[in-house]
Amino acid sequence: MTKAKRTLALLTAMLTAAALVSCGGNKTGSSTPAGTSDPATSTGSTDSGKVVPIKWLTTGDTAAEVIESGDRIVAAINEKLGIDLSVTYVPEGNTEKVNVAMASGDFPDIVTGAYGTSATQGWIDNGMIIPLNDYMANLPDLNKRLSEEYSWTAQDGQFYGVPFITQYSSANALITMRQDWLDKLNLTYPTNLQEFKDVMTAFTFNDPDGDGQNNTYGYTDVKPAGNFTFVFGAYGREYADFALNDAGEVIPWFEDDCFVPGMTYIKDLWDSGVIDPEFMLNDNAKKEEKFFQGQAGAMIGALYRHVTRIESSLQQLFPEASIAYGTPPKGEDGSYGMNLQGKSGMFTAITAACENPDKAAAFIDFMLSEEGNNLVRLGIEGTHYTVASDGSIEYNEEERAKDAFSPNSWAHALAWGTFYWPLESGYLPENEPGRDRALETVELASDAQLPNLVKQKTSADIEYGSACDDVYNQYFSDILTGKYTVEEGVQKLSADWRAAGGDKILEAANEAYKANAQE
Amino acid sequence: MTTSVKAQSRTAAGWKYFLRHKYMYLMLLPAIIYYVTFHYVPMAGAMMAFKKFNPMLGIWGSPWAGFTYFEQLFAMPKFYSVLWNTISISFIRLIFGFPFPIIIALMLNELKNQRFKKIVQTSIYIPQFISWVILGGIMVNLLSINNGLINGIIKAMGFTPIGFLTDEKYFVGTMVVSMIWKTFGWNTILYLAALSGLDPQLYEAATVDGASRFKQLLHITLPGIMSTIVIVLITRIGSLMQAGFEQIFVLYNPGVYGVADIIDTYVYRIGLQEGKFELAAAVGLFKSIVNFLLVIIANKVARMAGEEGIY
Amino acid sequence: MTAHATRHSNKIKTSLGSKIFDVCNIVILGLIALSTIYPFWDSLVVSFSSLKSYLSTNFHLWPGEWSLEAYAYMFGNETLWSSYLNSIFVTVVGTIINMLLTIMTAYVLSKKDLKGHRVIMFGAVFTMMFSGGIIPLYMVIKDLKMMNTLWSMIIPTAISTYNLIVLRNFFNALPQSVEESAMMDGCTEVGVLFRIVIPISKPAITTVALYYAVDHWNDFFSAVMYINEQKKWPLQLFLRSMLFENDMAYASGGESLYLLGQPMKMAAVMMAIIPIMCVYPFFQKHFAKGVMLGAVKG
Repeated sequence: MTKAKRTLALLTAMLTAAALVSCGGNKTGSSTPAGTSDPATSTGSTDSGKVVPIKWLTTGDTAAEVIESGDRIVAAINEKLGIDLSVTYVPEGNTEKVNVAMASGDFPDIVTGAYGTSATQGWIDNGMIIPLNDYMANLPDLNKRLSEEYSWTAQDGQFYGVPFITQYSSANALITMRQDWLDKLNLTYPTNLQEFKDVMTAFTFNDPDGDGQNNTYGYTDVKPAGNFTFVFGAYGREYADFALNDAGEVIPWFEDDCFVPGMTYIKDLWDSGVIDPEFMLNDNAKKEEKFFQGQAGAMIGALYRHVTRIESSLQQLFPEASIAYGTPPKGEDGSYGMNLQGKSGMFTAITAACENPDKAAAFIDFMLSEEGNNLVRLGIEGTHYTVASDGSIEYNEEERAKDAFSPNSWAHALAWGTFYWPLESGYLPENEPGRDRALETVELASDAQLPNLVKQKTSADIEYGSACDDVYNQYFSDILTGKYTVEEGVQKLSADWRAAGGDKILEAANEAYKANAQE
Repeated sequence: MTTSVKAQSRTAAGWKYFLRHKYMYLMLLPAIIYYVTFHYVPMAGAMMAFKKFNPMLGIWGSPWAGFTYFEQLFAMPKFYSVLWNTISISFIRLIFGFPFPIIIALMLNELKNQRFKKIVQTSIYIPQFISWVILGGIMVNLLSINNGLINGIIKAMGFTPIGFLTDEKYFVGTMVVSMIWKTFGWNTILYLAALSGLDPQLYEAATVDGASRFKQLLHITLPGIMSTIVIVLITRIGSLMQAGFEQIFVLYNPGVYGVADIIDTYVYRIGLQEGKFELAAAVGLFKSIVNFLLVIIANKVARMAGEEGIY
Repeated sequence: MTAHATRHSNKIKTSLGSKIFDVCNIVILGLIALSTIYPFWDSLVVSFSSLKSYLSTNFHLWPGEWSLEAYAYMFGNETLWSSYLNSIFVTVVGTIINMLLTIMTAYVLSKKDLKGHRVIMFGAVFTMMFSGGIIPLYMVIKDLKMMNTLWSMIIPTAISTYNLIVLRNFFNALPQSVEESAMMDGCTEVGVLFRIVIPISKPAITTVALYYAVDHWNDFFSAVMYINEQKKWPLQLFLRSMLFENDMAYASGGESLYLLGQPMKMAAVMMAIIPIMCVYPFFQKHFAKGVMLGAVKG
């Protein structure tokens, strides 16, 4: 045994020597890193003195075009700000890569991660990113975004990054139905819950597709627990995240008066067999597929730009079909609502390793500015687009294709995902097909949006939020399938939800709510 | 004095032994460098399970957190239920899934028509290449209560349709069968390779002696591939805590969480992917320790039974 | 002559039971093969179908309406071809490195009388169960300057312990006598490996090579972690990124290619799996060939 040990010791010594060699050897195999400066872009900005390299790691827009070296939009930004920008997009919007890179000490200059997660909170707590307060004063657009639009994201008065909450001020989901089925059955788009149930029943049992078979359902949805918010909205749900009790305290939304009658209504739909019994197996694509195949007559459709796609996909099998959408069904007192205001999104910060934080902040400011937005959406005037005498915009597709613009007059790769989405900005190219309808759906859906009671994601939310949501989904499913009665279920849900960390969430939420109210 | 002389001579003997086999040891060197660089050096990361990790301080420099994360893990509301699900799904899969490729390999081995054998061999390994996301979609279609092919047949035979993916009674069975179905072909390859290594002379001799095909199977074929069977079994036992995240994640739903939720899916769902590195390390370490103990035991048993084992 | 051929050329009358067994065997294996082909066939058919004919049924046996749109779209993308080249490079070079290291290591460790072999084998097995997670590995790869190179997809997985165990097990099973007689003839231990062990272990070596090749081909996660530039992406990552669907695509109004629908998705799946599937028959040749053990002995 000792001999074996000695042999081993000897081998280890050899290996240490060899390991050193191997490190050197690997260098030959490596090629230039992502942040290679592109000569074309760096020569263009000689006037500003020194050109500062800025590396930006972001999940960005997964569907964007690749930014090639020599991209004229990047060059224009570089020239304007005296920087040499290199962007690394993480494939699949995989925030894990961003988190791992940061945790491994591989810091870019600017980093974009997921807002309101343990990872980004860790960046703040561990001093991995720097406060932006010192830079805001001279940067109007950054200042506007932080101290006006997102003032509640400050922690102890410090803004550590630029948040961008998805579906913060706009929404795009509406109950989407088969207009041709409604016509055939002599019905109209339901305006209240009673009508909604009647329509669902007719869709299920009155053979809307006219094939003589009982093979349709009224409504389908997605896993894990569907999205029945419109029912609770009709019963008077007011807020997206919590509810207020009579004493003015923050309570879980399912302890609000809307829950029991709402849940009873949903259970009634389920028991009468008008809801697709396998909806909990659907992902978004499968849900849409069932709608396109005529298996279900209604679903919650993510509309906006998808409105044209959904209708044309439906017409593949049913050329005469069309879709109907509208304000969600109302309750007896006229209340309605179905889209929850967002609480998560992206978070862009400057790292502690950044040598020129002023330039990095200037870049973020530019990306938030109107000038910057015009550049990444429209391009350079005269090259990527021209403004006609009547003020309308003409897009030069040939020139756009040379840079990282998406086809059909869509925007540059830098445009979306970090500071804006098209939905939030109300942006659509002027020549987008179905533009008016798309904008109409946003108007209707945003009108039916329920605001958050507490805008912040508290640290308790970050810590226990997903576990608590999980408890809710479980009970929703159990009540629906009859494992518990509604009253029994909601009591158990309240208890289990609190045990899973909900009590801490409530405590933090009450604190934040009171602090917000005092302001 | 005597001990040091002894030690010296021992060193000398060791050195001589080493020199005699120097090329053999030299051939081990790349592997040792590889394992140290890419496994043992990074293994320090497992320490994170006991640290309050701060990237600015590094893994070593971060302050200790003791067993905080393990306490968190064991205090999770569903921890024991998902642990049980993990073990039971893995175990059922082991019982049925482990012998299946062996049986198929033996059946293939008995085929006379070489062309047919090749066709079967090629087709059974195809599902291995199709990811669970895609297979999941196909399974949902096939097993649907409303218009799925399988339930169509069940209905045509006059039975009530079965909620393979929505009913707790059937879900685990559906998972295990589909898991086996996806991987058995791939696992069969290994046994086929082992079978092709058997000495034809043994069969010739047995045939001359008038041994039946079954007897040949029992006395030549099985013993010939026994060591392969054993190493596969040990490694399978050593991955008991891996119950198939991807598949379950694609196919499960709240209606069957009670039986389908495993450690990996649960921990994922409640937000581990959001960068709770320390908790992730604690989960990893817990699973590693269980797997490790199982491997040690399995290997010991195998060696006691006269097999070589995996180490 | 393989064992079977020898056995069946034997004119000793086969029993009735044996015949029944043969028939059952063929039927069962045939049915199983059909069940495993189905998902592939379904996906293949969908990839050649129009959206309309895809939607018209849930059970796809033949395209109702042919469409090459999905493939035309894919083939028109330049990144597709560069990602194919990257994947081929990673798979070929990776597998060669894997095999060199694994064969050498497995051979040495199969020598039961070599001192220290069990300790080292245990050291390897230990890494199957324990790992430090992704962060320290990321640091090592960064320190070795392998970030954003294709080597980051090759070197960190240079040996798979499972494959090492498998190959060592095969080498273990080789009759000692063969090697000994070769040693008598003046071969060194290293010489025995190349002249005797490798040639007679072809089925095992091809199996392990196949396992490695498929692992490299399917790997996308290390590319997500270690590769920054899109032109260095492997095929799997490129296809995944094209078809990546998340709720964001629905909620944001961003561009998304999944608009092109299921046929497109399936075309991507086909383009990823057909090349590697075609490799199999090439490997399969070596399983079918009987081993020349007898010849070596003689």
